[in-house]
Amino acid sequence: MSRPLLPEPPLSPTSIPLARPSRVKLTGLRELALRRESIVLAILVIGSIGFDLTHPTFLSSSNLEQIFTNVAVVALVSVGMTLVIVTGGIDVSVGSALALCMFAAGKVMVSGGGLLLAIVAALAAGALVGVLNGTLVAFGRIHPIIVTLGTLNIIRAVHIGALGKNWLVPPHLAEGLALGTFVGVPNAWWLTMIVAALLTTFVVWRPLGRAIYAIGGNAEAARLAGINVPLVTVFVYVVMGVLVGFAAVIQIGQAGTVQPNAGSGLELQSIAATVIGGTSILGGRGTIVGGLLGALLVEAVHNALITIGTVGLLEGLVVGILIIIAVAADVLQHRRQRIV
Amino acid sequence: MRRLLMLGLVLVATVALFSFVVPNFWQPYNLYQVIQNGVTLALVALAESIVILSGGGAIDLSVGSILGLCGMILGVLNIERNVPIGIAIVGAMLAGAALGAINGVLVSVIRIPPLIATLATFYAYAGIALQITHTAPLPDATRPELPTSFPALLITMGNGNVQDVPGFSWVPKIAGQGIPFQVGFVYVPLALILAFVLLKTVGGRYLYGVGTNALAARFAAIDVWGVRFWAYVATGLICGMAAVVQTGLSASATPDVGATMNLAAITICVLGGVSIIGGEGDVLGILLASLIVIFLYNGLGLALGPNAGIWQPFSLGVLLIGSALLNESLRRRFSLRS
Repeated sequence: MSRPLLPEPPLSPTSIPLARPSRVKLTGLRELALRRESIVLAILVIGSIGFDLTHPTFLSSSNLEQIFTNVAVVALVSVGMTLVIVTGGIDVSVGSALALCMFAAGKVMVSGGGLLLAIVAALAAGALVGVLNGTLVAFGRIHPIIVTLGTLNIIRAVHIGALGKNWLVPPHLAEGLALGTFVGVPNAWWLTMIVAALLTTFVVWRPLGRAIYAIGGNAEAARLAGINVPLVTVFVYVVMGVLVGFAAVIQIGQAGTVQPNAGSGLELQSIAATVIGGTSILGGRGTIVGGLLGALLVEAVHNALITIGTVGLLEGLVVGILIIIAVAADVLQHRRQRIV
Repeated sequence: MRRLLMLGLVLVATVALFSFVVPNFWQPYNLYQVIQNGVTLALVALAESIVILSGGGAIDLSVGSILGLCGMILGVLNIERNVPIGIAIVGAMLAGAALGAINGVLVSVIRIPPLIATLATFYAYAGIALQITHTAPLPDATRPELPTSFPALLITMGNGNVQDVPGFSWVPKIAGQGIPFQVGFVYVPLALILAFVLLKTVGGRYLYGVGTNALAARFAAIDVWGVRFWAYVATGLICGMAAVVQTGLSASATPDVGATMNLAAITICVLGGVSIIGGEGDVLGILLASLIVIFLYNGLGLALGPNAGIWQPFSLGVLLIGSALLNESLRRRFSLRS
């Protein structure tokens, strides 16, 4: 994975084949304040404080720990979703993929394999799903929504077929990773931060990472610039799958069981987190930090809805409206003269 | 024509295969029931095709949720509010058109990409449908103060035959079975009207024009975004009709009845030759594809028994990806567009 699929760019300082994103200078405080990430962070902080005034347990340290523990699954998947959407794609199969990865890890745990082997199994299952999705998108030239709508159901059927009638109850190997804390911060959130930091470095500084943005900005131009578009596309879906694998290990530690409907609704939450974080649904624009903040907002809303007592039913409505507001803001902000 | 021939062959092969392998498949009563139960999905597939035809990445993931929500609106109006069934039916259909119009505004006015707009409304409409009665179906056995069933008129629309309607008793029966009401009086007329509109009216030609080449359509002074808006409204309206038929069929309004219907509807469209990039597809192809999927579902159901719930979606997923691959390879070989 560390080996770039692309040749290194020529080393002349003036020739930068793929533009790096405009980095915020210290003088650009205004630009920083108007970035989507800052706006989401502000909404998150102000909204949390406001909600805490009426429901004082919301910002208690135990509830905060709860939020940062629970958000990890959605956050990890959102990081992958950000990359997929940046290429101009989408992946609605993540919920089923999570279930399958949980099954793989759970099966290894039940049959006596250690935590490490279980993690490897989950990551491998996720990567396999990624190869399947990526190949169909890149080489089959089918629209990603069609591909992943299909694999969503195929993978779910395989998962339920393999699981049989009984739930899988593996030994509690992943519990420390999923529920423990280190210097007061949940381990699951540490893992998310490390993965996000590594991937951010990768997409900002490595040629392969820049190629992801280039494809989303203009696939034809990227191809003419010598980027192997199908290969990079498959790579992105594989990264997505591996991240789902990580999320599955966390989820198995938190849930304790593998159920037939595990992960259902995850695609809504992760797509919501991604677009709330400012990733353009048209591709080419978006940051991993934005995806993380979006995931935090989605999780905070989820937590707040539970605090109010409106469990479950209206969450689809609320998150759906959040998606529409976020994308509408993005579309209106970047409105170009589109005549068709 | 080539595709219609292929679809016809696949349909015959599917029916023949199940007739030989599954004992109770080729029985007049089973075939009658398959058709009767399948009309809802066939209607939703017709609805979906209108949006996809309009091009520009247009898709409607919310069709199943519109179906569920319209059914609940029908139930609330008639059962909870005692609105006469005729008005309640019209209300449910108009609600469908209104929900479609919301999709249309999001896509055509705010210009949110259809995929994400209808994904959001898919969950939003489903959330409202569940919230209305807190997931309970209507009529609700736990609420004795309410009527315990829908009026006979609605039940007949889902379970009766064409021959039951006064003045239509002369229509011949097929193999001793009547023709389901919703086939004779809902699906067939609607399919004919839709085919006529698509082929012979200005609006229909605009839809193909916008779907094939939006820029050219714009330069021909066609209101591209207006056409797409009305495509969503038409889709919502037909989903509302499907909700009426479905509620009559099951004699109950269930909030999550359409939960997985978007997959089936999109599969039928892609299999039936509706190009996912717009501008290609016809009613006859969708009809044949609907029959294939409906018979496939029933055949698998009879063959696998309790396990069918797992492998029916699986087969749909394979069918969806397989037909999309086929379409793409055909397009690359035959299309004038690069």
